[in-house]
Amino acid sequence: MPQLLEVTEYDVIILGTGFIESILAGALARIGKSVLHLDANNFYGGNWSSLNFKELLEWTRSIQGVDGAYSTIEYEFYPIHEQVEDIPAMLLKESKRYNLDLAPKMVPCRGELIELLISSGVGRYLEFKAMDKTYIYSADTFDKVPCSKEDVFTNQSISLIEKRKLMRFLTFALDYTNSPDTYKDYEEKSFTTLLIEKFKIDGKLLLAVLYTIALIRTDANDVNTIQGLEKTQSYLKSLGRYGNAAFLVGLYGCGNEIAQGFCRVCAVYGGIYMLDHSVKHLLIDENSNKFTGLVDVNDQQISSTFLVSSIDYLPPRFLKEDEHWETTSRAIVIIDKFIHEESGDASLTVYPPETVKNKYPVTVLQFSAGTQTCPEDRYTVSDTKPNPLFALFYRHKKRVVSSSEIPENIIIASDPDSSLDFEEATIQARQYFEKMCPGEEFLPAGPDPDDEDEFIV
Amino acid sequence: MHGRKRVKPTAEVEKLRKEKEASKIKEYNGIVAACLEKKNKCEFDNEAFILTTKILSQNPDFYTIWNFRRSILLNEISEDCSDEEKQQKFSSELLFLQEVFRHNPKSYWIFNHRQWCLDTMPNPDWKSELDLVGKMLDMDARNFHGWNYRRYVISKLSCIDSNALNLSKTEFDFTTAKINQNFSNYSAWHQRSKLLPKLMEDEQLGDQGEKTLIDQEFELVKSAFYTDPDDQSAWLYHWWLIGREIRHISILGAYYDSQNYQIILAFDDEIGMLTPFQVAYKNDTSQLNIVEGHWRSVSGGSDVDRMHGFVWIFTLNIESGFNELFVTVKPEWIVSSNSEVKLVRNIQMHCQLLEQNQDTLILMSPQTMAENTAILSPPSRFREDILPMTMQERTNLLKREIVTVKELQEIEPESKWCLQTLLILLRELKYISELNAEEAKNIDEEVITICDQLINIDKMRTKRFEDLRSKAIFETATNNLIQASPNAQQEIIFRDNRLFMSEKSQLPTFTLTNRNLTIIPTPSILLHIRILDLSHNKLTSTIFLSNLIHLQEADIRDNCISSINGANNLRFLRILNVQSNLIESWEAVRNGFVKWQGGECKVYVSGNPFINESDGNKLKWEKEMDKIEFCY
Repeated sequence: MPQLLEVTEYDVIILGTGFIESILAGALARIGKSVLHLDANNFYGGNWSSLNFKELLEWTRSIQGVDGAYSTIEYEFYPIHEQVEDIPAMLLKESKRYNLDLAPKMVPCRGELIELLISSGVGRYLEFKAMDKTYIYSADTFDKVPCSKEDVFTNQSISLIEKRKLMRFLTFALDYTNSPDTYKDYEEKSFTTLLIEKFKIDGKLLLAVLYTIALIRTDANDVNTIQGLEKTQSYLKSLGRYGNAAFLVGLYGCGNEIAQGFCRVCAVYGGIYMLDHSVKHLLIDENSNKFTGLVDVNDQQISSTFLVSSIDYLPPRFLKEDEHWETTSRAIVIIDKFIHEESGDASLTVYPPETVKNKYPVTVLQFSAGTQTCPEDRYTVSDTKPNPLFALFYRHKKRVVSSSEIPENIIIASDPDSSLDFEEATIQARQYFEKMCPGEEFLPAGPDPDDEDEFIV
Repeated sequence: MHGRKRVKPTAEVEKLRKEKEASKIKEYNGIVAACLEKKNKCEFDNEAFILTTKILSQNPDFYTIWNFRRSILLNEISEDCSDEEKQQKFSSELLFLQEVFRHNPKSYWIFNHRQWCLDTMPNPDWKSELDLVGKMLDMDARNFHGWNYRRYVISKLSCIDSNALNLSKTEFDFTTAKINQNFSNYSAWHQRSKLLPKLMEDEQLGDQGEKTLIDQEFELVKSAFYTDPDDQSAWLYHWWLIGREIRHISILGAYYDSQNYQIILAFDDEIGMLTPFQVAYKNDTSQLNIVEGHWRSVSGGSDVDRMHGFVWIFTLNIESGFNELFVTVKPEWIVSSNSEVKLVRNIQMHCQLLEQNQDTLILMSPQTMAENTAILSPPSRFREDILPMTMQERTNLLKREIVTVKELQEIEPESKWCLQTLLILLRELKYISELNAEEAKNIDEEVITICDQLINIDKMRTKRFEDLRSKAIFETATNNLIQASPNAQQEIIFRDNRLFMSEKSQLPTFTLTNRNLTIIPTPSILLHIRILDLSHNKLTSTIFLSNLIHLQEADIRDNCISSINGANNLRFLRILNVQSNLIESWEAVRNGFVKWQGGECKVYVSGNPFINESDGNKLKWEKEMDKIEFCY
């Protein structure tokens, strides 16, 4: 039986421990707001979570047939394997060594999130590995993509002339705003046109720039020059900070761990946490259309000035009936071997449009034991192709709520988007905070226990 | 650091900090004083040792203290100390150094002391030193102290390791790894240049293996400069791979002036004379006897200047007629103007005087000295240090590299390193190959175009490229005055010696105007010239004139000359035109003629800034120099 609360009045109640909710929890508690943070699940992270294998199976069953963020859910064990007789049993046995992200993402080495992790001190709670290898697929082969200067230098699959063209473009893109003459005539045109006409980049190299460096997630023809340059620049700015990698991936899963880090700040500053604690209904004053409180699973009435909520906790009437929700097709596949020979701890592989009958690029993030997301590969397989052991497929909607009906004092944290990073979500969290607490500082650094001196000389 | 803003210290905090610092300084000075006192008193005790530890932990650049510390250590181990104890002592010393190194990875004295310890201790562990320096270079791959120390460790290891070649290979791979991490690393490339010749010693490689190894180097460095053409470290390694062939110094010609009892020698380099060249005659028994006299170069006025020059004159002490004279020049008697040129063989010039010869100037012909035939045979292999190759192979290599660099230059027309590399390649090609006049001219023209580009791109080095450009222009323009010597490859002589004696026919003339010339690189080539027109250029000095000892008329109008030099000894000079230059005072004109040796000469000076000066001095000097007539 869930515990009863001693205090039933708060400045803010937060429903769901997803990425955005958790940042807000930390930020609000940090400036002295009293926070109650609830999650109906018995794990952190909500739709941003990382689950072990057993949890993943349970989660899969729990979302089947439910009209939520997920649809078209299918999973499959691959029963035929040389070395393993009972794959499900084996996977369940080693279940705890898996941390499988429901919405896998990476952290750009320079960007909103990393700066927040550093400035707030939350980064101290986390461990990362560099995602320093990128591959691109074309015509049945994978090529390693040269992303940094060092990669370009050592890469043997592109010619000297291509090296020069690529470096020319990368050098320009890193600081493109300072040479407007170069792209002035292309501003109205597509990014692809700029690359082909101005930088003479074509063929495989063009695909590599579009889909692995600029990381375009849609049809490249829809991306204009400025958008493409912005994307390329933010990628390039991420290089060199933590070695030769543009992205970091979290150990023990990414979204879940980062969210927990912010929750920890909230708890340190007096926030109250209850997992496995669901909500019966929200209390909204019909006259003023203001949120006043909620009734929880224990029929306890709890009130607060603000409510921050994940979409999962909202009454269906708030959801906008729209078929144009952004949908991402995802798959979690457990294999017994690296896809690429020198994959390392983590690698990114991109299938450009039309290479596997796909309209949009398909991105594969591969993690191995080094990232603490799965057990070590203990099979010796002579096949050149890795064997799948388990695969889960699902479609993931990013739901949108209609703003007019929602009380002003309810802040709605959105579902994970289709991007490969947390940048938009981080910005959103900051904006919500600024809306709720105008003029207050967003997650200032706490006192550093290791810091003896008052200043650095 | 760590994304936090630095707090500006308040006045109070600042004051506290200063006080804290002052007390630290006082303490440090106290320790230093105590330590130095012990040193002066030669007290090599443990207390002194502790003091040095304290000082060096804070200031590892205090080399006096390191010296003292070494004295203390030597003192300690000299008193019947077992090898084990010595080893123990130095091991803890090495640990101390490791600690100091952490805070000061770039101190010469730490490495110096470490080397001394290892050289002094009974059983140095070089393998673990190699691991250590590997870690140092992981921390900072461009710390040249680390690389330097690594070479030292390797040299020690190669003494004890029977397989030195293997060691070189491992080291070579180590530099590859570092270069792959970041190729902007002079130290790593340099290390490679030291290792490559050692790898070439591998007998198992064979001719093909050697070629492959060198080609791989070219591929690697090309990949680097195609990736970043602005990074000079890669270009410099490329230049090293190409190498520079030594150019031979030539004697362009030698003459005997029977009227003045003088021998005139013209070199194509500004050489310095270390030992006077030998002049001899043959006596009745065909033995060479020394002829007394003295050598001086025609350049400059001071005694020091006379020991350097392109053109040399030997004046016999006795005015007597010899029927035959021999001049000998040996490589060890001269010093060349730079390391890229040298004299490679002994030269003996032979002059036979004939009664019926009407001319006063007689050509001396070069002879081979029998005992030196071995040196004479021309070198047929190039780049001896890494991969010896034939001239054809070298030519092919240079042409291949020219194509590669030109391809890059098409994409990067503004890259100065690219253009400079082309200059080097073209120059090498010109000097080593047997080119016909047309090909040589094409190369010179290409060089001129590249220099023009570089003058615009690299404003900081404009003058250098203007000089290089002048050199190419001059070489093209004088091509018809010289020819390849029949005696040896890479040597040149005057094409037509009769020019020198053809006083009755048309006078030898040289004209090179409107070409932005800034220098006359090899004035000795113009030795024969009587009428010279270098007007409308950018020459800054007339000093080269001293080599043109037969000059009668010189037109150097519209240049950038600020004073007159090198004209004093031109006995035949009748007209010197320096109009429209940058001469700012009468003194700068007068000084050019203070030791005037010639007859009557007209000097045209209008259009120079000094013309506007008051005429007081002018009249005085005009009177002084009665043979010089200034014209306007």
